[in-house]
Amino acid sequence: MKKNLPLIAGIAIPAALILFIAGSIYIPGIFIQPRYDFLYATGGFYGRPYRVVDGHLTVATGTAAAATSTIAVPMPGYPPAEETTFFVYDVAANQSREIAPADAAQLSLDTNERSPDGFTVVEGSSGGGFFPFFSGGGDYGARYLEGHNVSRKLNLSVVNGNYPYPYSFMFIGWITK
Amino acid sequence: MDKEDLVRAIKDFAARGAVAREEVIAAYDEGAAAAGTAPAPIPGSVRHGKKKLGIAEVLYYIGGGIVAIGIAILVAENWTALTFPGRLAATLGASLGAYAIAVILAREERFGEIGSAFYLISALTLPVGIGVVLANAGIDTGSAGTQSLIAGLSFAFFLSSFFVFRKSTLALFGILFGTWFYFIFTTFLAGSNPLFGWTFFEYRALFAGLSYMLIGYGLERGRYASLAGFLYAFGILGFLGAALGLGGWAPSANPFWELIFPGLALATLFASISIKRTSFLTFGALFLMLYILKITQEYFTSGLGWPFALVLAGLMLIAVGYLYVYLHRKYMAA
Repeated sequence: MKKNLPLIAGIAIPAALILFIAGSIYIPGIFIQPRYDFLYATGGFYGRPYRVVDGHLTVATGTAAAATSTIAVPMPGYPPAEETTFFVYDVAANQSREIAPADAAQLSLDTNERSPDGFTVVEGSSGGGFFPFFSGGGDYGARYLEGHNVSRKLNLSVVNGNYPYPYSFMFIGWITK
Repeated sequence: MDKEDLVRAIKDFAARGAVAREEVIAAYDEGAAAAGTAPAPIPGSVRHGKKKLGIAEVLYYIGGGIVAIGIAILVAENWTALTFPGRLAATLGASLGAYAIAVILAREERFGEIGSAFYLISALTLPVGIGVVLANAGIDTGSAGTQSLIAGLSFAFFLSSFFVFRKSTLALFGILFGTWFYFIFTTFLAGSNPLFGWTFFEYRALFAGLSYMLIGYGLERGRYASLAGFLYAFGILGFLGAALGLGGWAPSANPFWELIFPGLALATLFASISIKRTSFLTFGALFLMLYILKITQEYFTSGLGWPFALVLAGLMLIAVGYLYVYLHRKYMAA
């Protein structure tokens, strides 16, 4: 046994590291939970007609109350906007639901990048490494909710506009009420 | 059984090609080591059980590699023309066929290392064959999850083959597929999680290198000593490479790794004396030189001026080079 100790250690190290990595990804998420849902939009990049003023979503022309869920109002000097669709992300259920602009305008929003409980929405990474030690791990189009050394992949509903997928997502604000 | 019976049995087995010279020597050395009567190893001598690659073996392996490349190109160029049975036969069929030939040839010592060449063909084409099966099932073979499955199946196949046939070549492919599985499965677990970026890869490489060196040390005096050289070389390469990378680059350098690295490199140089491995000496010196260049570029070009920093770095490289030659002459040369 003592003679084989280096061999056993050499085989045990990778196995232990795999278990450690799996544990560090999944276990903290059990104890640390985000509390604030957030509002986001998908659609074309230019000519977005909405603004957040005094913590509420407003549409640049027309009123939020008159807007429909597939509003496309061009900004002066910009090409016509793609359809902009709004979603509320439920962080507890880890899923999105579509919301009409009129209802979104009723929400109280915090537009800071970091939520009141210390989370932020970030892009996915490339995964690091080089051939053949990486493959299929990276995804810049994915979004994660990251904070307190914990990160969780988001199940976003994204509608592609004229631009590549990652640019069809726009974070608007944390829903405080 | 007395000594004469044993010697007669060895002669009989050798005449029938049922046992290799190295296996007899390895068994003797293991028993002598256990009894504490093993002779001290001579620095630079060929270790028991370690086979040197001759020109024939090199040609076998090159030929095996070219066969595998040819199969891969055949399948890639004719992917749309080939039906699934055709693709399967060209990849998985070739892999299993080569494996069967290797098993038959490896039993006969008179065929030398030809069996290992067919194991190489099998190892290179097996993942492709598994990928063909998964692709036909509509599964994305480029994803980390699918690659983990391919790597895991290949690893399990060659590891179990090793336990059945006890060949060094099978152990080597088991280690290689295990390494691939280790990296790709952890990539699958982390995905594109932003907490797991390049530094995550460096730590994995660090521990993989450490694991290689420990396995090499464990196999060094046994029947599979021929693998120790490869494991030591790639182990120290991965370990020091990862440690150097973890140091980062100013202004976002990691002070812990930047400070500890010269100690690691020097420890590698002096460990080479203990384990009699030129790879440790070579990589230890090489990485120490890289570290000197890195630190010079990071911290001394603005303060001392670029020309003076170059002079200083050059003198230190000369010192490291002399240390390498001194240690090699004194401890490595026969």
